This record gives sequence, structure tokens and C-alpha cells, in this order.
Amino acid sequence: MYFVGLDIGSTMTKAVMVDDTREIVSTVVQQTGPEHRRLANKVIEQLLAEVSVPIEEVTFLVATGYGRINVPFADTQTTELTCHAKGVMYFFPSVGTAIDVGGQDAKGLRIRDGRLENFVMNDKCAAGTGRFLEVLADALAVRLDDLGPLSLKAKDPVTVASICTIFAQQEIVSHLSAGAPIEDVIAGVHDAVAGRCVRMTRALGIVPDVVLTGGVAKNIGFVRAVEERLGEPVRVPEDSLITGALGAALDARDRYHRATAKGEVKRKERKLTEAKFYE
Amino acid sequence: MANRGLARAREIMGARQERVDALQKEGKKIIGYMALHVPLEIIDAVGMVPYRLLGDIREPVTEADRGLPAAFCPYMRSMLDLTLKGKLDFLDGLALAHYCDAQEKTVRIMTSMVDFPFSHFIDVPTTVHDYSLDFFTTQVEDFKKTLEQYAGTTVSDDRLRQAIDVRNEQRALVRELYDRKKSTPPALSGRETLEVILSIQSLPAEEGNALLREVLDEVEDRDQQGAEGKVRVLVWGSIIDDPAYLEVIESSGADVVIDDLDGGTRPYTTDVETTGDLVRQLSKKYLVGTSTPRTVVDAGEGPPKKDNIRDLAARFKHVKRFIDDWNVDGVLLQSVRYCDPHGYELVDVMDYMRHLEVPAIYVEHNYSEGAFAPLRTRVEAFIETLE
Repeated sequence: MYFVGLDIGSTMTKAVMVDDTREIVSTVVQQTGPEHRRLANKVIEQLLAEVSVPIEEVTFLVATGYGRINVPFADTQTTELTCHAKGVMYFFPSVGTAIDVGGQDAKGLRIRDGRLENFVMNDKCAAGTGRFLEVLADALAVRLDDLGPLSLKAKDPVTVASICTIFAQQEIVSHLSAGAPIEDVIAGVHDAVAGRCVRMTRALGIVPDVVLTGGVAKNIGFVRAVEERLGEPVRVPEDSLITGALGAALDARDRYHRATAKGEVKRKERKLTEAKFYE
Repeated sequence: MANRGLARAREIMGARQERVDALQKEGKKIIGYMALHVPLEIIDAVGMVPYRLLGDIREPVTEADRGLPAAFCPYMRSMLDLTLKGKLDFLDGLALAHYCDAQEKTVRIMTSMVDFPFSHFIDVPTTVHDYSLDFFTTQVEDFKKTLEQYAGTTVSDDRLRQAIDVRNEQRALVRELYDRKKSTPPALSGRETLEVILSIQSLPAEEGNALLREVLDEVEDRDQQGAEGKVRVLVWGSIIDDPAYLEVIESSGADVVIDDLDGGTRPYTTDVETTGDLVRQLSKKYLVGTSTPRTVVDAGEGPPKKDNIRDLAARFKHVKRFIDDWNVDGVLLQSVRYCDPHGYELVDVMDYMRHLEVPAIYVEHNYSEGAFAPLRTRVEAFIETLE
């Protein structure tokens, strides 16, 4: 008996399979790309192939993320907010606040007594998301993965005051023209992104433990900037990208067992098909 | 008019203009108004038809930049856009009352760019003290005189009392409609409720009352046996003038059982008393008896120490009553972007919800049909936290 969570984010698509003991048995992470409606089934095929599990053994499948409605073979959809909360609690049961910074949005989650209690979300503005860091890496001709280690060498981080990615980019260029070392500029941008995420989450009241997830949590410079802003250590799961998909898989298991207890289980005849555009 | 009740309401919402055209052919004059402080009874009493002005979330705003900045109330931008596109040309006049500064400025721009046959702006104080009521009464008297002049008639007390009676009946019928939503599941959805209310705000009072009676009869017989109730939500906030908003909320797994909205309960919670000076009674209802974020209500005389919760309890007593009587599970606070009155009020409502320990979230949106996806994700997640 296996449970699958599929998280179609704006930038990355993540799939996680768990067994009935909540053990993770398989994980796939891929670029979402423009054709994500056609790729959801391919990602699941890969997830199953890695552990040679036939699709028939998938008992329940939950889709999440902004592409969640485009998964015809899912049993149901759950929002990424609930799924992230579940995924974070799996790794850190003592979590009080989670901040998830993805490719094009950022979420703050307040978790109490094992439940998502409140949330805030920024999906309107690139500042405070991974997109800002991509723009920065582009402007500096630095690999995205190198931003974190480089920023740790900063001696005197610059201040990036603009709250808009486009204007901040102009600010970055003028800092470079003024001769600021690249490390200081990167550290300044990390602090600007961290500041936005922390301010947004403060509306919920930040309660430890604080956990950072999402692709941007892989950036050590960003993690340090958040810690500095909060004045306390934060925790990051080993794979910070998969919490949403993992939460969806755990949600699939919860939903299946709840339905079974009520005697309402309907096994879905599952075919891995592409979503059609005009269904 | 083959359709009746809810189907008729939906038909009117699909083509509000048609009924208005027919009324104008019968010689009726149509006066456009915006919520929430224009005394409709005075328009009724001179024999004209008050017609609530709605924006259009489906119409791209292409003309409003001629008069308004981009970072500005999108509902008002839509109003100016529709005005400049000639979509309000059919009106025989405008009767407006100060809701917020954005609206006041927009109205001035609308009337300076388009020549309406009649337009009148009522100044509305932002407190409900006796001296505010004294002032507001002079404003309502002034409005009555100006409109009488435009209509070429004088309104007798008897005529005004008749008009008040009809509107009081309308308010009672709307309250009865909301009472039917106390059951689990509610007898009619939030979407249907909004369709009915926006319809009656587009019709002559008596015709609106007839529609309300049809709807009440219709939902009386609704078979709710075995139907399961969903999460019961109260929606609070700024303009919602398209039923599609509530459709988004309800298709996310909630029943919108009650609201605190201009296009919902706000105009209908209190009546006009018909004793003494009728203009003052009207003024009292439209100022003191109409709860809205743009008018401050505090707890009044009391202990000298500042007690915020006491003020909030006085200000939001209606919201507390809604939560208790309609058995509300969660409160969805929503506002269009750049809405000052609701933006400031939000902090207080949120505090009071925390004090009551009622789950609440705030969602800001763009007043555009295309911007529903983020709204849906937030509403779904909120409902998941309540389940």
C-alpha cells in the first residue's frame, strides 16, 4: 500500500511516495517547465520506476501546488499550505513557524498542536522569492548554487532598499559601479529577501522552532540572513524542496485512512494520462 | 418575465440594463447611486428609480488612466472606466454620498468628464454623535430639495412615509432571507443571496419586494434532506459586486452563510422609524443605523481608562451576533487592493476575532476576474485549517 504526493510548483515539480508506515520510499524532483500539464504523468512514472512499484499499488494520490488542478489521475487536491505544514511537521515535530520560499512565491505558516493554524502568502511580487535570486545571479554572471557560499565571504554587506526586483536590480548595478565587492552585494540581496519573508511572517507571530523550506532554503547565505534577522537559529530539512510533496503523500495516507474508518473508500481506477486543455 | 424567484434574480444580474431600458420607456427616471449612505426613500418618493452602480470585474480597464492613477481603488477605476466608455450615459442622474476619499475624488472626476443631467453629492460625517447627525440631516434635507426641484414635485410627509414603509418592508424581507441561511445546510447559497440582493438594488422598491417574496417562497420548499453542510463562513469586507467571487469561495468547500458587505447585510440591518421628523429619521438610519468601516463607532461613555476591546465590542456587535446566530466556523476578511477604510478597519476586526477566538484570514484581491487563482488557493487553505 503506497501513497503519493505530487507538488507542481511554479519552478519545480516534486513527487514523493510513502508507505503505510509513513516511510519515504521514492522521491523525484524535476523542472516544471511550460508543459507541466503533459509532464505530471511522466514524473509519477519515474517515481514508480525507481522502486519498481506498479501504479495499481498506489492507494491514494494527492496533488498540490499551483498546478494541482491539472492532474487528472489524482484522487483529490490539497493546497500547498496544508501540505507544507504536514511535510515540515514530519521532519520537525516541534515546528512553530515555517517559511517556505519557492521559485515565485513565499509562504509563512504558523503551526500549533500539529495543525496549520494560520498562514500568509506572497505570490504577487518577485521580491522575496527565488526569482529575485535568479535575477541577481544573472546580473552577476554567477551560478545560482554559488550565491550562498560566496555571500558567506562578505565583509560589509550592502543595503538593498528597493522592494521591487526590477528597481533592486538597478540598485545592485550601482553598488557594483561604486566598487562594492560581489560578495557584499550578494549578502545584501540575501538580507533583502530574508527581510521581506520575515516581515511577512511576523504578521502571524513567529514562534520557534522556525523551519525554512523551499528551493531558496538550499542557499546557505539566505538561511544565515534569516537567522540574523530573527536572532535565533532556524532549521532546514535535508531536502528542503520536497516538504510539499511529502506533505501531500502524508495527506493522501490520512485521507485514505479517514475514509476507510467511515467506510467510504472508493478505489480509483488509475491511468497515468495527460491533462487535456479543453476538458 | 417568464422566470421567477432565483432564476429571475440570475436573469436580472445577467442583463441589468434590460429592465432599466424598459422602465425608461415607461417614462421612469433612473438615478444611479453607490452604497451605502444615499437615502433611497427620497428617490422613490419623487417617483424615480434608484439604481446601484456596480463596477465590472470582467471589463479590462483601458480608459480610467485618463483620470486616475494606477495604484488606486480598482473598483473606482472600473467605475470611471465604464463612465468614460459611455456605459452610464443612460442614467437620468447620479445621487452619491461620501463613502471614502477615493470614491469622492472619482465622482468629481466622473462628473467633470461626463455631463450627467443631474448629480448630487451628500457629505457624510465619519462619526455618529448627535452633532454629526444634526449635520447629516441638513445634508439629507438639501438632497431632498435638490431632487424635488429636478423632479418638479414636492414630496409630502405621507408620500415619504409610504416610501419608507416599502423600504422597511424590503429590509425585513432581506433579513428573513438571511434567517433562512441559519439552517445546515443553508436554504440558499451565498452566490444566490448576492444575486438576489444585487437584483433588488437594480429594481424599483415594490418590484424588488415582489422578487424577495418569490425567492422566500421558493426556498421554503427546498428539499435539504440528507444534504450535508460545509464549513460555515462569514465574509466581511469591501465591495463584492460580482457573484463569481462567492462562487470561488463556495466551490472551495464553504457555505457563505452570512456576510458584512455593502452588497449584503449592511444596508438592511436596521429600519427607519416613521414617527416625528421623517428626514431626521432617514438621516439617523443612513448614518447611525448603517454600520460600515468608514464611520467610527466607539463604546461611548464609560470608564476613563482606554479599553480597546470594549470599543471593538461596540463597533462589531453585529459581527458577533452573526457569528453566534449563524453558527459561523470561520471568518474570511477580504478587500480590494488600496481600500483605505477596510484596510484600517481590518486590524481592528482581526483583533476582535482573536479576542473571540474565531478563526479568521485576510485576503486582498485585485478586483479582476483574472485574479481568482490566488484567492482560491487562500480560501481553500483556510477551509482546510477549519476542517
